[in-house]
Amino acid sequence: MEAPANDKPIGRVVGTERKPNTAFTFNFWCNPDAPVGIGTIVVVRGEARTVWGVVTEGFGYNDLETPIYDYIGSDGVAEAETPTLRPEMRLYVASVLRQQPEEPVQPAPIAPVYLADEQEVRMALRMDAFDARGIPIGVYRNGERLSPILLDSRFLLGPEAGHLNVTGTSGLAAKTSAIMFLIQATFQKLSADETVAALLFNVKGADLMFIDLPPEPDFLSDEDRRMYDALGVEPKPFDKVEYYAPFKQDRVNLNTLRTHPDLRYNVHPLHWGLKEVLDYTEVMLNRDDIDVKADAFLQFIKQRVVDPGKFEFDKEEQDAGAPPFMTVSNFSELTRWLDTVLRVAEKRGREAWRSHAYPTIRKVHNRLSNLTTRYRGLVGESGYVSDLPDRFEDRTVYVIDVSQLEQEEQDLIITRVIAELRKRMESHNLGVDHLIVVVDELNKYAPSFGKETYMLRTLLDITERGRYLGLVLFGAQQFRSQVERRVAGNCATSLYGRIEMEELAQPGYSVFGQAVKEKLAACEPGEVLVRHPHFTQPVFVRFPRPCFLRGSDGIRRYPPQEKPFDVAVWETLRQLDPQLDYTAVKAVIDDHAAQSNGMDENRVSEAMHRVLLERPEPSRVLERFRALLPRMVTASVLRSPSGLTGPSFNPATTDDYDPDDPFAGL
Amino acid sequence: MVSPTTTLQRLRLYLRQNQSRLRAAPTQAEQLDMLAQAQQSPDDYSVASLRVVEHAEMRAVPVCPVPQPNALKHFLDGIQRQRILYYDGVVPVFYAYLSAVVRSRVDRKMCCLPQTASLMQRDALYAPLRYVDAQGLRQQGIPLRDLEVGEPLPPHPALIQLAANRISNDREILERELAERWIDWLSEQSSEDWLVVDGAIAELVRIIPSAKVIGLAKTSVGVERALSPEQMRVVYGLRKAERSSVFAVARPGQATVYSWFLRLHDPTKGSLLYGLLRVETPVDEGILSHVDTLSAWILEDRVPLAVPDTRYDRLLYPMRDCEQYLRAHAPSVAQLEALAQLV
Repeated sequence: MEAPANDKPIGRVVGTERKPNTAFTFNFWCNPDAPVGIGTIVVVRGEARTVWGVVTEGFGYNDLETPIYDYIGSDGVAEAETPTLRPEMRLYVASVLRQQPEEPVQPAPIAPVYLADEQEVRMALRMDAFDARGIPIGVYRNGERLSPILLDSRFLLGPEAGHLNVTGTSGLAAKTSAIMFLIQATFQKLSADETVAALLFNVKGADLMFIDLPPEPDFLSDEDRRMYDALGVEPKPFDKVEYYAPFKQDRVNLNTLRTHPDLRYNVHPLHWGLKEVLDYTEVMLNRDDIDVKADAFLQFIKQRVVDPGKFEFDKEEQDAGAPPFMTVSNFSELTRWLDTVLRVAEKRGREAWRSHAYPTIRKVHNRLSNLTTRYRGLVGESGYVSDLPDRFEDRTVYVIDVSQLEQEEQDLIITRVIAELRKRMESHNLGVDHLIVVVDELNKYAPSFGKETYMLRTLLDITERGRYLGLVLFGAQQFRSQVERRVAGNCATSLYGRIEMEELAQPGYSVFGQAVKEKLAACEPGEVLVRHPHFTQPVFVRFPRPCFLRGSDGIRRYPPQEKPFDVAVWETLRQLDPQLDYTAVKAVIDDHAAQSNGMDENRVSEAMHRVLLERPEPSRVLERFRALLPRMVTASVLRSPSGLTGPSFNPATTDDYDPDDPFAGL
Repeated sequence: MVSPTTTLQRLRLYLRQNQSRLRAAPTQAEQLDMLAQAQQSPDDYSVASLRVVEHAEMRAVPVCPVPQPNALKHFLDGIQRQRILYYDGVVPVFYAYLSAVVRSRVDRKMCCLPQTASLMQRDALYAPLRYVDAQGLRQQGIPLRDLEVGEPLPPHPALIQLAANRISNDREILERELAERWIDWLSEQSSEDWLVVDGAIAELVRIIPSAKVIGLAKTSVGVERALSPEQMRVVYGLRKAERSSVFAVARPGQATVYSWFLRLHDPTKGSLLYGLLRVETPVDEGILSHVDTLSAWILEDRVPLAVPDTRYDRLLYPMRDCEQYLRAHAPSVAQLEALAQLV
């Protein structure tokens, strides 16, 4: 419906003894056909006071005292048409957004009510105070008129306030779309003096895997384009995007849906070694695994073994068969070190080693040596590391694709990345003024109940201090009530898309009136309720669909293509030597296969990772690859030396046999 | 003409200036009984003659729906709001607010047509001016109506009665003025619409004999008294959607009108008078052929019910709409009470 001209009132403020106006709410009546509804912004123009408000509740009346009168009057015939219609009206309750003069704070005057035009919306939401720093979040629609709604960048990205929290039912184009649009708007509208980057996790499907590509021609509707125009945001895909994904089980192909040859140019492996993950044993190991004793031994390993990179055994230990020192920089070396420690402990009758109990050492050995198998595509034996860039670049989106991973791998990646970002934040080493990190399923990573995890502590720290240090959390979840209150509460800006009534019944939503809740329960895709420090009351806005290729369209246009094993190895090594010949690499692999009675992919990929770790001169890449590829040793049976005693070992017959536990069965 | 809002403002000033000299009136609640007793029914107590003109004798006629669209389009009603505002010495001074409106039915919705004035409002102080500070009131520009009493001053109840009658008469005059204006306007428009007036129309018909106007009387004490026992049996025996024969009613000093009773609702649910309405039209032989159509149109207006008004069985909904409209424009009881308390 076309809104009436702004100079024509649509209703009038009324105040009665039973329903008086206050300094914070006022009532006004309207014709039933007036273009007013929940969320409409109106302005009351009194003689000496102007009051802006947003409609939060509505009532419909006619002059019937009870329904029975209508029933009697129509003789119970519903379709009966009366010669005269009863007068019908709407009574709306509006919450005050702003008033002028600001002091003294008074109830709204009894005066005509007008629909707010673009200028009035600016005034109502105090956007006049931060125009230059405004980041568009969407439009307020008043009939056919679209008024841009801006967020103050100093309250979204810091330092005044910071962080964003988005709540909404999954799959209704609220959370991800809103965040992606807001990031694009931030990239375009944030002052050129400030640098900003975003880091996202693609946790489901291919939603974020083609954000650097334009959408299908008819993807954006006319309404979307009108909104982009009104907001002054150019509808375009992200200019600079870098993708990261761990390897698949073969450790050469990337475990992502963005594997089409045309799109591999900006997809990078995400691969970690011992040092990268040792801090996150809490995530990798079961809660039952990490008791106080195990935790103490893990801390010992980290502080005394891995961090120094070299461990010196004392004289007594050397006497028990340990070497003078061992270097420990990757999982293979750690396993060897643990073997040595266990041997020393056994020589001493399985007593405690350096105050750590033998069973604890064995348990930790068992669990740690298992990690490179459990996190096969992500954590490697060799120590080869391919991680996020040291410094983030301005207006660049970094997407980590974890959609193809098991839950425990996703958890490790998200936890470690967030924690590393915090470390960089502390050392002012992000590379940009503001780094937006997007975390979905916040109710899983920062739950309102249960044990305080490493991840929760990290997220709390980010939300409490990140705005000063340039790290901004854009969190999203389906159930805000299940998110730790301090994490959600620290987010100065909140968006609410469609929310189920059960969730809305939680105490955290009691700040909203019943009508607002009902509207939230029926929010259309592309519509959100916005709370922002400058807005005295939350307002409903619409935002356009983000302008990039949808996941389903991208998969259709660029179907994933897994590379053959040898091709993948060749392409990976070509990062070091662009002139590297495919046939030469294939020959090395074939040679290895011929000597080993078949190709061992594990050994080939390990060799490849070691080459990547060594980073030899381009001319030596092939040579090092060949050298690091172990040749199979011919097996021979040794006769048991006479006089050797000890327990018999037949792992296949024990019930708790663990192939990754070198001491199983002993 | 001074608007009611302006009058109240001027009165406020006057009362403030003279509060030491004037005496307070009883509260509105305390006055209600006194004014109710003084209020004479505007209905016709005295009927000179009553003659059946449609049939040989009074009888019941069933009213059936008619295909013609309802031409009862404009509805006129008036209200008055009065109270003793203060005493000047021992003389009661009344404030009265009078108003009348024509509400029109357009696309089934009641509204005031913008083409011509629909609302008339007047207010004034009513008092025997020779006994009060008339000069001071005039200086404030307050409208005054003299009760015109001689010497000595009549007793208090008589003064109350006099004022109440004068106010009611003025309200009837206001309604008539508006009705005349509308009848003229409808005539200028060559409109086929009817104007429906609340109450008797004899005085209006005297002025404009050929008006397309009907009056709806909710109470008909005078006419009922003039009915013979046989006629009374027919009238009180009317069933839902039945009308009586048309009869001519003549009152002393007033024009004769045609009239008939019409039962709007089933009387078995209430008293003999439940849903019994009396219709008046100008005397016109041609009207007799329209009686059934007019009755059918009135019956159509049984719904929506004019609830919660207690007279809903005889009050047509558009008439209630007029009353609601007028009440919304009238000074509130609280306003008048506050004004009276200045003394």
